[in-house]
Amino acid sequence: MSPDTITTFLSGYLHSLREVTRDEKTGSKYGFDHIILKLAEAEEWTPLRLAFHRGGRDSAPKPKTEREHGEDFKAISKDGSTLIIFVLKDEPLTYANWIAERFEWDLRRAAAQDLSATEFSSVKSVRVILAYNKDEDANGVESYERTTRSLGTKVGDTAQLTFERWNLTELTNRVRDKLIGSPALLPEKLFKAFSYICWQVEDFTHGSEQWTEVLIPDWREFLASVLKDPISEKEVRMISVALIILNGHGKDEPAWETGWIELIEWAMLALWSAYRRSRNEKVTSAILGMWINVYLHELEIYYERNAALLCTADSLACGFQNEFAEAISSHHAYWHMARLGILAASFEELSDLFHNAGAHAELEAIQKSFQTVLNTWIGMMNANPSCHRPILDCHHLQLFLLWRALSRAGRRKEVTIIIGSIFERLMLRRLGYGGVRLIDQSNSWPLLLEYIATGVEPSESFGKSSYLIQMLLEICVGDLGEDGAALAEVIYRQLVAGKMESGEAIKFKERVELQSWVPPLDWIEKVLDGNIGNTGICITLNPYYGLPEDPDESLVAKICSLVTEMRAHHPMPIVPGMPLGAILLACLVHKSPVPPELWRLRCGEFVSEQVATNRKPKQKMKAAAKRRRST
Amino acid sequence: MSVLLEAISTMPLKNPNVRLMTTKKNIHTLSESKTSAIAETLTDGLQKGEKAAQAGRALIKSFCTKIRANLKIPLGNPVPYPDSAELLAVLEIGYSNPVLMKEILSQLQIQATNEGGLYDFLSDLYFALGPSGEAQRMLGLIWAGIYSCAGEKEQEKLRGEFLANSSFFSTLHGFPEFLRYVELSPSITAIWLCSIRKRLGSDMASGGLWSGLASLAEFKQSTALGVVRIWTATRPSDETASMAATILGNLRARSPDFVTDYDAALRSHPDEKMRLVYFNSWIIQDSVNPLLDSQYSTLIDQMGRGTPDEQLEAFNFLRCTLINEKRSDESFGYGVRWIQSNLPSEPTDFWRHFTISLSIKSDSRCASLNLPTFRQRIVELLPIKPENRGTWNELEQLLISVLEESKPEFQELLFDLTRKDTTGIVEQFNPHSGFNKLPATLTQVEPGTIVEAAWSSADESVRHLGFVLFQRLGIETLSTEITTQWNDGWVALLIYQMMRESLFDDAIPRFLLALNPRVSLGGSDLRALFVYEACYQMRTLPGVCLESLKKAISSPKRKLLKEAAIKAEKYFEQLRPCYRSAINSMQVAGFPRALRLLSARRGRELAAATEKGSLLMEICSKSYMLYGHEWQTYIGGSLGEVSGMHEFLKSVELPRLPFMDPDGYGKRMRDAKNEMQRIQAFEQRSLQAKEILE
Repeated sequence: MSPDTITTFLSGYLHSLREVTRDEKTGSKYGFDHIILKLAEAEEWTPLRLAFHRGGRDSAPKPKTEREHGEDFKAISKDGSTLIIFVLKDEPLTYANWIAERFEWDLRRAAAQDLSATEFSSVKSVRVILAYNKDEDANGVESYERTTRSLGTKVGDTAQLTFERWNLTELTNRVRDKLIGSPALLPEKLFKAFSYICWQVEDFTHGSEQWTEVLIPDWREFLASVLKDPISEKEVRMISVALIILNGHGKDEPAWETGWIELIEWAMLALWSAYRRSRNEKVTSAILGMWINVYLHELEIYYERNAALLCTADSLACGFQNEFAEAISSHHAYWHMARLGILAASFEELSDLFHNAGAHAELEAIQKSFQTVLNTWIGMMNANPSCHRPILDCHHLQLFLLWRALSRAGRRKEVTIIIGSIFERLMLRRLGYGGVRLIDQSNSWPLLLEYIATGVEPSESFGKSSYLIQMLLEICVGDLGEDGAALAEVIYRQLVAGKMESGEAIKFKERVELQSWVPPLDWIEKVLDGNIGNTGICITLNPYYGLPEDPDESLVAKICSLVTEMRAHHPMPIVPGMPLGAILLACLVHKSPVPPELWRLRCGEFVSEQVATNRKPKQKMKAAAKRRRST
Repeated sequence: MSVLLEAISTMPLKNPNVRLMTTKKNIHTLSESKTSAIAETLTDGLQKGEKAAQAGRALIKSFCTKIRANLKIPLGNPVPYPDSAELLAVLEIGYSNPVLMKEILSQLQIQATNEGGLYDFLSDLYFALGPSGEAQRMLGLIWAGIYSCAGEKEQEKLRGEFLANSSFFSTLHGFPEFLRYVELSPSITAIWLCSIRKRLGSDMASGGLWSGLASLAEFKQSTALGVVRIWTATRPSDETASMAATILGNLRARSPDFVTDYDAALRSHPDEKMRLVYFNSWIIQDSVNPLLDSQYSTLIDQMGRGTPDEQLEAFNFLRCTLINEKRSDESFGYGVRWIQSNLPSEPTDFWRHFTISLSIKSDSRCASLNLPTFRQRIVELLPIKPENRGTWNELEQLLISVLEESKPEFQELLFDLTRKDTTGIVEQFNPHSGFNKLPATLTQVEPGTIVEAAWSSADESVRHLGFVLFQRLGIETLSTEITTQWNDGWVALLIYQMMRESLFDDAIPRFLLALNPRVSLGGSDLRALFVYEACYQMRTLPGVCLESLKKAISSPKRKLLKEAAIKAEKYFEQLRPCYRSAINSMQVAGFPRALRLLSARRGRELAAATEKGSLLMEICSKSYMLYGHEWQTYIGGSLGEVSGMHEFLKSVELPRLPFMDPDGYGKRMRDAKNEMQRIQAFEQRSLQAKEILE
């Protein structure tokens, strides 16, 4: 993360905090009092008076109820010569607040220190610090200046009295300088869990068993505990600060870079889930801000930094020289393809936003970024054959994103070539001429790797059903013109029907059945929360599109017919006003299929179908929706 | 000194320093006169009174003490033992004199009454003396002596113990001598022999039984014929049929008249199995007394006219008898022609094996008699099953003999064989299995020309053989005379075929270096293809190909390889920062477990392959050491010597790219095949056009 970004997020976080931390009926409210304590500890000052009673295990600190006489927090320097008194305010320093919010009153009380107690015998100076985490205006500042000048320069006969004013900028700077890497920056209630996560991040390698089985569940639990309803801006800001802290703890190894992205992704998914539940504009705006300024920004930086490596021949497979090389390189390739795809899709959305808003400079910049991402992606695909080797059925998401990006860039011919290459390789694989024979429908890397290791198919159903091929066929037919339609015919005839052009049967060990899918009505909630499981309706297409097959009917006609039928029976649930990239990230992370309508809506061939469907009587649509619900 | 001792002391003994070892030339033999002298001394002693008898006992004792002393020596280290011939003489004499025999047995301290005691003694004795004809005779004589002295029940027990005892195979060596001396009824003999045959199973160490059958036929004719009659009273099994044929053949060879009636009955027997006993018996007969031409041809005709099994027996008869040096030219020619005209279109493994065998042993005689050789029919015998190692060994022998005669003939035969059974022949040149003498022989006859000829062939399978020979024989250069005859298309074809070949180790750089001079003379397309392929090979084999070629590309004549090397080096240079970088360092769920599973699978496969390929591993027991780095065995109450562990390592650089991009590799293979087909079709069309123009 860049220093500016860190400063911005820290400032936002501090700004969102209250004066003191407390548990209320509506949930925990976090204050910046504990941050002042941590800053004092960082300066090696000894606290004499806290603004709160420390909380017990897993409970928030309780604010003190006795009168504090202006002293929210009091500490003494390590050598005992300086007494430091903090006056904390979570209101803006304005003339109106100067009296109303007791700024003056508290400052005067704080300056009136009694140093007669024996523990203050060596105190030579008293520092009174007014710390506030909101804005200020000139009148407020002038009031402060005037008051502090009037309070003199001494306490008692000898001790020097000085005043300081820590506004939000000063507070942010001090926190950034002293506390940036410490979990203590978060409220004490979260400190323990978050410290453990920081320790794990320092120790575990991205993708390792510990990472997936310990760190990620802990991280998700932490996110859930912070983002409990009702959510305010503070919680969102806190996640950004947590990410900043985690970044400082990352394990010193190259894998941390991708690990860091994955941690952000889990955080973003938790935030988008909160976004769906929240009606608070500040919250939604903060989440959108994080999506763009943290996730997309970090992705862009990562791919800028590593573009050259990705575009180096065989770079994703190097380091592996055994039976697993093909699968591992495919894993890496599709990992990057997904992120590049999300980045491209997000740039595309932003581009539309800028276009609609008439922001030409921004539009130009974002289009440039989109092209850069696309070039990196194509460069990676040209350099790494593993990009042409989908191994799990869920890899259809990456291919969908690729088609979407290239199609947007007007490079449909390249899509046809890539799909042709994937088909060619799939044929060779199925014929046993190289590599894992089938696309694993279970979407499980452990099962696939076990299959490679043992040679024993992980299940009876291994590779016998394919959603990925169905999607490719629909894209070919729907968006790639005559060439695409011709390619789809070949793919279907050879890979699915198992016949050569001459009609001769191809000796495949098994038949692959095409399948489509209808998402559940509450798909978006499910996918964001990771509860997608085996929901929705699976549509089997074997033999293709019903019995008996009309030999004269073209594949294009058959696919169009399927689309019409599916639309008639299963209208697509309304996608909420969320970035598509976020939805696809949820699909990626929670291994949800991409709903067919996401590509069908962009396929020219099916748009008229869509229109036709829309013209159908509303009654029919309602009945269909009712049927869906009862199902 | 007594007369007896005097007589013995004056007998000239052989040099006492000669060790009794395993070979026959070390065995002492006595002249008949000396044997008679011993016999006389012993019998006289026994007859002439107590004093002489005592002397006889002393003599026997001294022999027996030596035998027993030898038994205590560890195996394989027999002590100097010059008296075996004398002892044999004593035993032979003793066998005809029960008193003397009892004395011998008493001195030998054989606990015949203990279960298996006799056979354990005989086995120990056999191993102590080392395998030799005399040792076998001694065994048989002692065995026969004890058996003859035993009562009926004890005899039955001894027969049973022989079968059950773990010393069965070593004692079986004394069986011929045993049958020579012992009187057994035909019924007992028939049953016992069947049991022995059953006990032998498919074990190869059955010589004692077959020699025993010959001994029975030679010395106990009535018993032998009685046994055969019992066996053939009903339809004999395969085992009894072969034993019956052996006895019958031996009987006929020694006393033809003795079996005339029985022969006639068998020859015209309605049961094919009985006739096969009759026909089979002529093989033994012929080995003892070669058949006359008329007998020979009549017999073959009789069998040839019979059932398929009788025709097969005719081939069996011929494969055994044709190679007899005493076979007349007429009979030989008759037999050869019969085989040539009756060779099945789909030969059985038996036909395959022995036709090749006959080719090795009889082709030169065929050639000298202007008869068709078996070699001309060898191609028809293929394919040979991979598991028929013996047949492959015979073929290897044949190829070596042809190669030693004429290299062009060898080449023609090898190419023809390859066309017929490419996989089988090519597999034989695998360094870990198959032919092991032929490659060494080939290296001595400038094998490059054979490879060049193979690569010039329009037949893909022959070119494939060329690559296999190139790999195996370490060929480094090609003749310019030949390579300049290849046009650019043909060289490209060879490059494409190389892509499809499983060349490993240094074969690829050797190929590139060997082809470089010809490619340098070629057009730009060929040169580009060569550079592309060389670069691919350097990328996929950075150690064995890139590093070795880098040393060889300094010559300006190798600028194409240099160009490829520069490209490959650039590839690795660009790849270096990618190793364990931020783009490929993340781990994959399930990978550590899969790695363990793969490792276990590899271990199992390696162990199975090692055991399959090693006779030693099949025989020996296997121990998995738990702790320690040295080992020692504890057997029979004592510890063996401490031995260290030995590690065997063999490393081969595997190509990187097929692992990294297996489907891409499959595509490469397919594309290369398509290119080969295209070029070959073009070449054929060119050839046809040329022929038309001419």
